[in-house]
Amino acid sequence: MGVNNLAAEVGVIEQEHASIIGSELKAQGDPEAAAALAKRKLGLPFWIAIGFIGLIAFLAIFADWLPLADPNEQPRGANARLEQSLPPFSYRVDGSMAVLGTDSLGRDQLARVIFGSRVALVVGFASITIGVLIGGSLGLISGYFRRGVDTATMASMDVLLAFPALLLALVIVAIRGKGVVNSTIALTVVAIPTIARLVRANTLTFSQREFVLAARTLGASHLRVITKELLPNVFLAILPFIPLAIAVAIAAEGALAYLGQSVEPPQASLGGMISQGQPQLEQGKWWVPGVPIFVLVLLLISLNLLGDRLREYFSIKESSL
Amino acid sequence: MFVAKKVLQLVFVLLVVSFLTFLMLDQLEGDVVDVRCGLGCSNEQREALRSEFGLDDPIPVQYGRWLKELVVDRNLGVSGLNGVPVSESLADKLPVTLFLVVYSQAIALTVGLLLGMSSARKPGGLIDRASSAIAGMAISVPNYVVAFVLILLFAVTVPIFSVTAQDVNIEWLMPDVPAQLSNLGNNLYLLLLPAICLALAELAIYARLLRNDMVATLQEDYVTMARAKGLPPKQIMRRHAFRPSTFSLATVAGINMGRLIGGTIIIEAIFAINGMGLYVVQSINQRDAIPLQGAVLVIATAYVLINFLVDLLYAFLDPRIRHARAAA
Amino acid sequence: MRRGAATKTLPSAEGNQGGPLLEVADLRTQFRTPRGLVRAVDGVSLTLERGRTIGIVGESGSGKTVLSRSIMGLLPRSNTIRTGSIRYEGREIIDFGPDEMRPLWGAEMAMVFQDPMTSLNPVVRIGRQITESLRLHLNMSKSQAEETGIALLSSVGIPEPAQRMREYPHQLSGGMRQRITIAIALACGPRLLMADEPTTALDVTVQAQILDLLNEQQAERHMAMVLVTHDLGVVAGRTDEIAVMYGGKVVEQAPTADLFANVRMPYTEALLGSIPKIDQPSHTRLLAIGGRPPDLVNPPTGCNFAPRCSYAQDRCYAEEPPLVEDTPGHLYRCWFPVGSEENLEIRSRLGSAPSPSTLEQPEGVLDDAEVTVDPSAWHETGDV
Ligand SMILES: Nc1ncnc2c1ncn2[C@@H]1O[C@H](COP(=O)(O)OP(=O)(O)OP(=O)(O)O)[C@@H](O)[C@H]1O
Ligand code: SF4
Ligand SMILES: [Mg+2]
Repeated sequence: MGVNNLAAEVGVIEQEHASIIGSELKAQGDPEAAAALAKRKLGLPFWIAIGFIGLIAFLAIFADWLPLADPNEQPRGANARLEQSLPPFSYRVDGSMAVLGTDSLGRDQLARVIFGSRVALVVGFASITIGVLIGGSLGLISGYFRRGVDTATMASMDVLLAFPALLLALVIVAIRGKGVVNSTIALTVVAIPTIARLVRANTLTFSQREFVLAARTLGASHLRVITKELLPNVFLAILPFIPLAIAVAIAAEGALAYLGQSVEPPQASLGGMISQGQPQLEQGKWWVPGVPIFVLVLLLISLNLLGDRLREYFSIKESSL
Repeated sequence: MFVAKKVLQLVFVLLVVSFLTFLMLDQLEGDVVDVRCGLGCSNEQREALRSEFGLDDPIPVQYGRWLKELVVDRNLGVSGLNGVPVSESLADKLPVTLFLVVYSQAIALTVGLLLGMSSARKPGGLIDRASSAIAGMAISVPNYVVAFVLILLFAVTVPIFSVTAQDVNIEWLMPDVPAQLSNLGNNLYLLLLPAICLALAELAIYARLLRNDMVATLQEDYVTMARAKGLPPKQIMRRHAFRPSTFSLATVAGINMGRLIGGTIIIEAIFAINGMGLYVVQSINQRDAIPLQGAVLVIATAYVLINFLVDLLYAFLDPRIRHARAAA
Repeated sequence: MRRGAATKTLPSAEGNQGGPLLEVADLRTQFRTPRGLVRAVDGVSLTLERGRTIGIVGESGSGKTVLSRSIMGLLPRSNTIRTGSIRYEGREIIDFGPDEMRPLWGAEMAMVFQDPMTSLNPVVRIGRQITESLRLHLNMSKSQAEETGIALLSSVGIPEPAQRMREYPHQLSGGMRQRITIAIALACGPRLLMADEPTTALDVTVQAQILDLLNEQQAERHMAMVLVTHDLGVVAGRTDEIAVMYGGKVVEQAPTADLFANVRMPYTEALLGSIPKIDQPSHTRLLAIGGRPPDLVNPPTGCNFAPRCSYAQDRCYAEEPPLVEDTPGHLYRCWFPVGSEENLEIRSRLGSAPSPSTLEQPEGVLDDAEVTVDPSAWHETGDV
């Protein structure tokens, strides 16, 4: 599971899309029908996905103010053992309910999963935002100016891509040390080449469109053409891929955390919870790793669905123009 | 000409990659001293160790020395922790990882091809829609989650497989064929769950890629022409539609070999498989820089080499490229 | 696998060796699409005798390709509806599925496509593309097929045929490739050849060569041919009969000489005015008649051509003209045929009426025509 995933995925998706849209339009052969298609709504699943991501984001942001148990507090004393690895909706010795159960040390899974999601979301969103800023600029510049700039940039991107993504991220964390900031840096570095390529490819296409050529011939400066003509179009074109990239980054953070290379324990992370739950899984207490896995998978599927629907929505709009 | 140019490119990329590997892990070299010293080292002892490891020389000199050692003596250094030569450990672990990668790739390609071709035969049909839905899921769920589900289902609930695969034993030179075969069978059995975890997302990507390319190919004039010749559908599929539909599949499958090597890191950790991935993780946890350097170098080199081979394969599949590139 | 060879003796079953080779009656081909039924071929009837040639002429989108593929049974089955009758050597083949058609394809009826760049498989050697049908239908051994393939290539005028057999399509020019697709089509000695715009994608200078080659091979093999084109000039000297198509229908049909001598249909007259001249750029697809072809989903009432016809009267918009016979064998579909008194009267009423070929392009239809941009003009305005 790495960010290289995105490259392959992007390829598949683009092709799939082209062929589906292509055949639909071919069959209908006129723009009216395409316009009718564009009226299609984003759909209920899209809003459910948005709702789920929003809920998790809300919980993660306001976790400190919510009436949650302390995510790092372990039960002590004689009854401690009785409160370990409880399934969801069980009661603790003191009669309080552990809604999502407890982990192998008896810590509250609900609290841990919310604080873990916070790490995942922060790392996922931050790394892709910075990745889009840096990789996007590189892609825009090399796609617009071509020649030497392009060759040099893309060659260095290729060198970065010569390392498997997860390996590169691990090495960066190993050098810089654990923590949210360093995980973010690692995943940013890993995301940059893919984003740069995607943006460059889109820039190349848009650079050939009439409106850009027209702006050039009217004497607009490079900066103006890039920011006013190319940037908005390219950004809209890659926008649907951003949720996908975030999903990939979150999955990669999970992998780092599983390998013990994300945040320092006892701070919760989804991957860390999964990793600590593995012995429980092997004893049949599947819910212990099951809780963080469930949240992680729902988050990833929601993000993927979001990206897919956005892409459909935008490309139909565009083809109906 | 084409091959010569590619080889030149390859050598250049390998040099850059090795330098980068060296540079990255050079950052960890300070820790070599730490690892050796433990807690009790005076400053003089530290200095002595530094010069023993050659850490005081300028970076290019260090790199040159490292590269010379590597190329001439095939020496990747020794583990700072236990003094075992890195090349020896890698020779043990690389085959395990390669076995796992090839195994999962084989599963992914076989199932992916079958699924892709049957989807393409009836686009929009039941098989197509089902495989598209499954592919969507498989692509968005990370392999370590798949691993947990498989362990729960097939190692805990119905214990037909074991939760770890640390007993994998890759032996190339066994005295007799039956022993070799039973060893192979045992490895295939032990690594089945890990291989499926790695294969699932790949398989979904392959199936979609092939399906889309094939749907496009089946609309080509030359396929209609083949039909107009009266060729039976099987022959049309095999001779006319299959190969032109595999260009992007071949590229992606090739690139994925490298990606799978990355994926093995976590899968090997989950199933306690004694391969490169686990070696990397252990080296990181023990802050043992030299083995990590060796492992990263080997993995990156393998990745670059595979991409090189994919390029050649691509040219072989599509004669137009072969000729166009030869001419250029 | 090899059962194809047996079908060479197929026709005698119903014993009409004397009847026409191909009889198409009231053929309708429709596509189900989200917009509704596309009536791409709408009640076409044709008869083709052995060894004769019929030309199918019409603008882009008039249904020529759909007609020829319908006759061959090569359209995708999923969204296509085909009704009417197609009799090949007396046998009804309209209900034949691919399994039943397969012995006929390649062996009895063969096809040459419009674009030789796309109709040859780029990753299969030319030799194999020729020999595969020989081996399938004629049961030839590998070496026999190889020899026959070389002979075929040299008969269509390809130099060094043995060497070409080992090459890939991209190594040859467009004209050479079209010769190869012709050789492939001729390989098993079909009785019927469908040539769908075989020269549209080629340079003007090569076009005549390819057409001559087709005529020559046809005469030699006593093969019937359906020659599809959008260019009346192509069929003028090369066909026995011509059917002009418009909006999925045959609007005029006549023996070639008769048609050119005595055009009745205003659409044909307009087409005649748009025969490309040699000095025009070779890639321009002429659409010199203003306006767009009719919508095949909701065809207009009355005459299909009325919105573009310079003689159109009220009646034309109200009632659809039937296909009527003028002189024997000459059919047309028009209320006010060219040369008739009513037509002359309309003409005189229009005064100095423009000849249909020079009709002004109505506004807003430019997107429909293929516009060639004059590069010199581009430079003047584009490079400020
Ligand atoms: N599979 C299909 N589904 C829906 N409509 C189709 C299909 N194939 C063809 N058509 C429609 O049928 C009409 C006739 O097309 P056809 O290709 O036969 O024209 P043509 O006369 O061969 O034109 P050209 O000179 O461009 O080759 C067109 O309007 C086309 O859009
Ligand atoms: S029927 Fe009327 S509109 Fe149609 S072609 Fe004849 S004159 Fe023109
Ligand atoms: Mg056509």
